[in-house]
Amino acid sequence: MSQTKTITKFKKVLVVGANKKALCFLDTIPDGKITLKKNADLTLICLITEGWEDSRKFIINAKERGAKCDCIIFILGKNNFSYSAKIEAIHGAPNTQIRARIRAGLTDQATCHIEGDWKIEKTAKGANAYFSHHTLLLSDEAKAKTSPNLEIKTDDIKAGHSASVGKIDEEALFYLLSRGLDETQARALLVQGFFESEIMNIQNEKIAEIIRTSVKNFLS
Amino acid sequence: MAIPTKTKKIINKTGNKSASNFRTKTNSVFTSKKGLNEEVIRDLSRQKSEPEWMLDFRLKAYEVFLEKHMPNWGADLSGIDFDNIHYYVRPQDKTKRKWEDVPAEIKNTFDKLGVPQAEQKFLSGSGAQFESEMVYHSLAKELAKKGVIFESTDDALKNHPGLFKKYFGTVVPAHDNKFSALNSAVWSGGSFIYVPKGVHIELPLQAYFRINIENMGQFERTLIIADEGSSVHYVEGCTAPTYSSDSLHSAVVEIVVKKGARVQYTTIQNWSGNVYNLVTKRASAFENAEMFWLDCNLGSKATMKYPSIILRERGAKGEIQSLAFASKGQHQDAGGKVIHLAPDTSSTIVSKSISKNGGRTTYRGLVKVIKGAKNVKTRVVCDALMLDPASRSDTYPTMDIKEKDVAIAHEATVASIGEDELFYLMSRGLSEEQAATLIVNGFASPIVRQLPMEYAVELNRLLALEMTGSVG
Repeated sequence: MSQTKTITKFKKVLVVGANKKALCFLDTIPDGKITLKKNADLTLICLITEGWEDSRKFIINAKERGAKCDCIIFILGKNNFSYSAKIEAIHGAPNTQIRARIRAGLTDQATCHIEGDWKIEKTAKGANAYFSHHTLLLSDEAKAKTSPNLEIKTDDIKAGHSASVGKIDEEALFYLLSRGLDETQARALLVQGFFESEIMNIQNEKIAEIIRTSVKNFLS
Repeated sequence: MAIPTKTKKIINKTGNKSASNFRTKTNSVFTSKKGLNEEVIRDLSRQKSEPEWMLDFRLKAYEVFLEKHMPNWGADLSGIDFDNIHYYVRPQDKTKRKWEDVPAEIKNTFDKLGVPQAEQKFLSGSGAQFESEMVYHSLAKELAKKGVIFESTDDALKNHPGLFKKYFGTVVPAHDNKFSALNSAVWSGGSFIYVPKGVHIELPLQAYFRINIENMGQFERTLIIADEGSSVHYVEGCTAPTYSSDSLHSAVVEIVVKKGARVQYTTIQNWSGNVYNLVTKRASAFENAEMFWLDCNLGSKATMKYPSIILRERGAKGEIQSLAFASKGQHQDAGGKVIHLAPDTSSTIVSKSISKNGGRTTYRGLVKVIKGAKNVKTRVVCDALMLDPASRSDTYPTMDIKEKDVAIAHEATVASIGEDELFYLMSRGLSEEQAATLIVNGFASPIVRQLPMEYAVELNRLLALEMTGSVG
């Protein structure tokens, strides 16, 4: 394995070469395509605050044997921003792995629509696919739509997805209030907790700290 | 639970593969020509001596049918030739109420399927659809006394015109989709059930569906109305003989569940491998009402069926549980839809699918919560089991949430039979096939065990039958 390469921007196309390891830290869901060669290993982290108008299409193609992509997306949605994207993950070769975890907190009139199309082709024995999309609705006007789709054309694979939409847990809120926190503090803490459960999986401490700070500023 | 000897005999009969492959020769009194046009519809309506409004309804629906496009998603429907289908067949002139009056050859068919025994044992009333019309209809006396109506839909149109017109087409309008329009234009047969306020029907009501004439479309129309505080469980079971050319089954089921009422609708379906099964099923649930769809899909060439529940008023509950099994050349495109229109409503969707031998299963679902529907809770679980590399499994769940005061959860898993599970069972002395069958039965059991006992046994038999020769 070569040295990890950090990428913060790419236009339309990104190719991660054979046996290369890369870390990609973006501020949006790109309208483009990532191709992963043999045993390529990409960690993709997106920290998103600004929305966009049209729906985007983002493709992750694990084209060759052993290609791997771990994708963590944080959406801090506010104002009347719209966050709409179709993410297509293609497992085209044996032992490929594409795992994506999305956490979205939505306030004001923010709307988030994520369609995940996870495909496992006939040629992808031993593929490992995972997609999750969890949404926390923080205002009366916020809206969420999620379609975690799976298309699986062979067996001997692992595939799973999960999705949830909910609001701040009243019981947890009550608990924090009973401990002497005021409501704003308590809510902020619970929102931080919601994101922290993914932030803690980020190995790069610097990036993790940037996200933590953004989450703290999100509601203030 | 021990199985009575008598039931065992029935099970042995029904479990035998040949039982659903026989075909009884019947003399149909009236068979419409193949193909569909206005004249066929007028003819059909005249034959049934229907009121003017129903003919109008049919003709309008036919126009909608012509306008609507075929769905460009889901199963491959290109094999349907609308001009090569009989739209109406009527085996005898009148619906019989007593078993003794039913012609011997038809009786014989039901005997092989175990219907009368099933009725004695478990059912309080029975309507069996043989071809297009109800030929056998009995209703326990106490239920009739309580004001329960259980008739063929055709009879109900004549006998209860007011009630019929009030609800017919209100849950599934003709213009809902191409196939609901087709059904609205040429519907025939099906069950009509009205349960008056506060009446609980303890035993399940049953209808047995079969398609018996080649190239005959079956377009039954079922309407169930459960008035305030009542409850009913309706069971629909299907076996069809195997034919060489393609058949179309396109039913519409409408259910109205009023305040505090409960309806369970159970389907066990085993169409032969050439049937296109395109069914629109929808229930409308009012305050504190409960609707439960239990849907087991085996067989057919292509199935597209998404039982739906519209939760209209506060406190309504909906549940959809389904099991799909797709074998070679089959595509089960099934799922469920729940639309939350009111606060404090809750729903559960559980879907299990098994694909083998190149079969394809698809879960397609929707959970929608409108703004203002506060405190909604819903849970969606889809599990898929794939038995070989040639099979395919898809999951398309959609959640559309416009209210924050909700708790929505969804999860899905796809797996194949684990080597270690097989190894363990085989080390205990089971053959590979037995072991695989056991795993499949275990996978399906959360759904199967909710069926009435006799059906559960039959379904397990069917699953075992499907598994024969599937390993090695």
